[in-house]
Amino acid sequence: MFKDITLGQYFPVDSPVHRLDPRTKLILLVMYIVAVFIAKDLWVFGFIIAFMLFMTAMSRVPLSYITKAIKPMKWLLPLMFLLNLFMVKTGTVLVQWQFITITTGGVRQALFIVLRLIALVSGASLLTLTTTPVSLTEGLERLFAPLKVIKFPAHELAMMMTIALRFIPTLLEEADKIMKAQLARGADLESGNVLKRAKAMLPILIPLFVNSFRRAEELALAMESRCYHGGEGRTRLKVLRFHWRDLIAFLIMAALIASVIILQNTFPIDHWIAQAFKNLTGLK
Amino acid sequence: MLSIKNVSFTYDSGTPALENVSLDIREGEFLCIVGHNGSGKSTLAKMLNGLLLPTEGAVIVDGMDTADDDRLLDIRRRVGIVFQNPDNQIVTTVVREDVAFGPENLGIPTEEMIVRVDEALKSVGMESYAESAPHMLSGGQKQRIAIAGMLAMEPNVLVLDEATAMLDPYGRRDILKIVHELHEKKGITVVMITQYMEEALGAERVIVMNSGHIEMEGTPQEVFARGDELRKIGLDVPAAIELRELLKERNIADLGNAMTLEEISEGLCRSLLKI
Amino acid sequence: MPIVIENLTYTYQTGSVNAFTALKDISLTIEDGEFVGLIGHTGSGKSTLIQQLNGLMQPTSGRVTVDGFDMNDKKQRKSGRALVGMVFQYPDYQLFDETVYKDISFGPKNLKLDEAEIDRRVREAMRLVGLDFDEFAEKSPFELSGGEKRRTALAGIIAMYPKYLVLDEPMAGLDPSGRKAVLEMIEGFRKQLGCAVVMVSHSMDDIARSAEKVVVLRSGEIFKMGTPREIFSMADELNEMGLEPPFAARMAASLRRGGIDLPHGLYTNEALVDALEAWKRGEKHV
Repeated sequence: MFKDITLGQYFPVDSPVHRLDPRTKLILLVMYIVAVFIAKDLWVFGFIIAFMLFMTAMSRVPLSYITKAIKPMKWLLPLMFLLNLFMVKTGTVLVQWQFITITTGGVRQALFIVLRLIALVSGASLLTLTTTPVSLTEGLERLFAPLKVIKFPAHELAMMMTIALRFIPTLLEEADKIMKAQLARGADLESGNVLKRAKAMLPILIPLFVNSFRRAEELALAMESRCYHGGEGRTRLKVLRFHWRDLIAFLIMAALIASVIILQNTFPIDHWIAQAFKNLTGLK
Repeated sequence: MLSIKNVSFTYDSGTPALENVSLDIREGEFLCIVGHNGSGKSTLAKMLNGLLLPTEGAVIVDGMDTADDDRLLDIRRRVGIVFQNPDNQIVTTVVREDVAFGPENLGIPTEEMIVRVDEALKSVGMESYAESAPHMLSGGQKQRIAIAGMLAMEPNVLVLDEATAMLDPYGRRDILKIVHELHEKKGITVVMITQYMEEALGAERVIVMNSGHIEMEGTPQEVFARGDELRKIGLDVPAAIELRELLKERNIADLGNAMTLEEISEGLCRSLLKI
Repeated sequence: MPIVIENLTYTYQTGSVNAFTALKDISLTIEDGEFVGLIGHTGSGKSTLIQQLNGLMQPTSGRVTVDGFDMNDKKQRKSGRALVGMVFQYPDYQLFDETVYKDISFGPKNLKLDEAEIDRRVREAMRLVGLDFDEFAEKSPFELSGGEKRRTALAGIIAMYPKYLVLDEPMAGLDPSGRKAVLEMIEGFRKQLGCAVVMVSHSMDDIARSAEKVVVLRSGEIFKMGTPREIFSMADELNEMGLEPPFAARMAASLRRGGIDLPHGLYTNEALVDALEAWKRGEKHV
């Protein structure tokens, strides 16, 4: 039954990571992305990924959930790898065969891109795995609240997201009922070509849309009756407060960025390897 | 405290929904408005908190005119409406936060809001569902949450616009019980709009609507004594009243004003067994 | 030939931690032309059961056959489903086309009937549900009133000439006169088309009026099956289950408890009054 689907991919356990303020986690993600983008040495990625593994362990989310998030990229990753491998032509030439040229620079860049993507996706999915969609919405609303000055509709967007989250299960259930009602009238949803099948969906889509509009209208009336008049003058039941653990988290993330910078400047291992490789093979 | 003065209303499509309706809702009363589909009773409900404005006439809530835009929030805080479809009035994904939606809009300070929300949930017996997801609840439970959402705004009048129409008998009985409790314990004014005649039995006053105007008004006793007229406008009398009338007609027993199953059963036993 | 349900068990999400058995070992036959009332508390498995009747859901174990077509078999299911018309609770789940006429013809079209036959059936169905052809045929179903929508939805199923008509809460949300009209309509189809009717309803009064056989479901099992007389004699038990037996049945039970010893199986006010009159006469004669 559709009722039982969990929204997003939230993994419900209690952990220090789960307990962080959603705003903290959003800012941490931004900091983490910065760290990933300033990393320019391959081996530093090893360091970043070790950090990710550590955070995952802290969050008590099974590692398989993170790999599940990477899985949808199973075509993208090899493609990016191959593109970079063949396109980038810097450093020492390793293979030269007809029009194919593979260089050390290409290998490095290919690995680099793949690791960067993995690091980014695993970071983002750790956020959604440890934060409910509702508190994510709240965090976003409050982070963007100062932008109201430039007319950025932070509250409105958050309200829309909340309502969407609230109604997705209801609509899925309704879609199921409508589908059954039409199947009972002999609707054929399975045979025929794409065009025919798309047309066969109309008896399901039209009632779904019509009902959704009616729902929206009724919901608007109900919200108005409950004195909704936009974000102005609104107070909140749940007050987000920063705790010590949020500060500690910020410090840890700052330390990551600092380490990335310091490590790759003090120990440019990639560069050393490239040098050694050049000397060893004597290639140009 | 809530008065409807010579109100007429015509929808944009041109269909008149209300014609010169006047009605005073008294503080603390339990009023039931019955009528068939399309009799204008739901239009009337939406007039009570300014969701619809009269084409002619006025609706005055505690001295404030619903046509006055500046007083609208004040009016809506005082007149809470629970609608028919339980799904379409719950806004957020957690019960507790949904109950807080009204107070949040009113700018109630957080500490007070927490007290109000807990109190409201307790009044409808849903405190153990505070952290639940609304879509996992039954229809009756969702309506209880909707009522709690209104109570948290501390309204003077609670309007139920066919709030039981989509519920099963169990849920319906449940909501009815809670509304009566709120009326008795908290003295809240209740306006119950319904098409189930049984629900009107417990009211203090019954208004019967028919094609946009008030057809009858009186105590349940007075209104349901006019069974033939009710049937003529597509309504019914509660089975209990029907039985009582039949018993009288057939000279089996005269049970006076008995209206409930218990009253009739007791009266019958007394009269037939001569005890 | 009837619909035969044999040892039907249905489990949602088999094998997962959320596995939930909604129907347990149900055996039931729906005879040709019979009017069956299906009652039970929300969550008793009523909706799941009726969806098995036309193969929208298939049993986890057990078998459903419709006039001999095995609904477990994908090919036979199609033939079986064509015999079973199903009307869901809200017409809004079903209405979609531009006009009432087109919407009603959706089902017959899916049966691959020819134009003339479709036209004949749409007209006939509209007549049976009391929708005036000239007035409504070209109207959009979305402009109709609640009652008219329900009639259109019913007509859409009737036009398929089902041998079995399954109705899920067909009167939900209607006012007393609307309820009566729909119930009379359903009785009308049954007479004119000779179809069997399976009706799910919370309103025992409606079931009491029309059904020949009543099936009471409780937590996925058949709690009791019998004539309305037999079923409504158990007013107190039904009450305990959260089902509301007809008023007259509850009253009779209450009077019996009070010492007036009335016969069993009274579930209409008229019958109750007759019985009371007889009882009173009997008393006086003694």
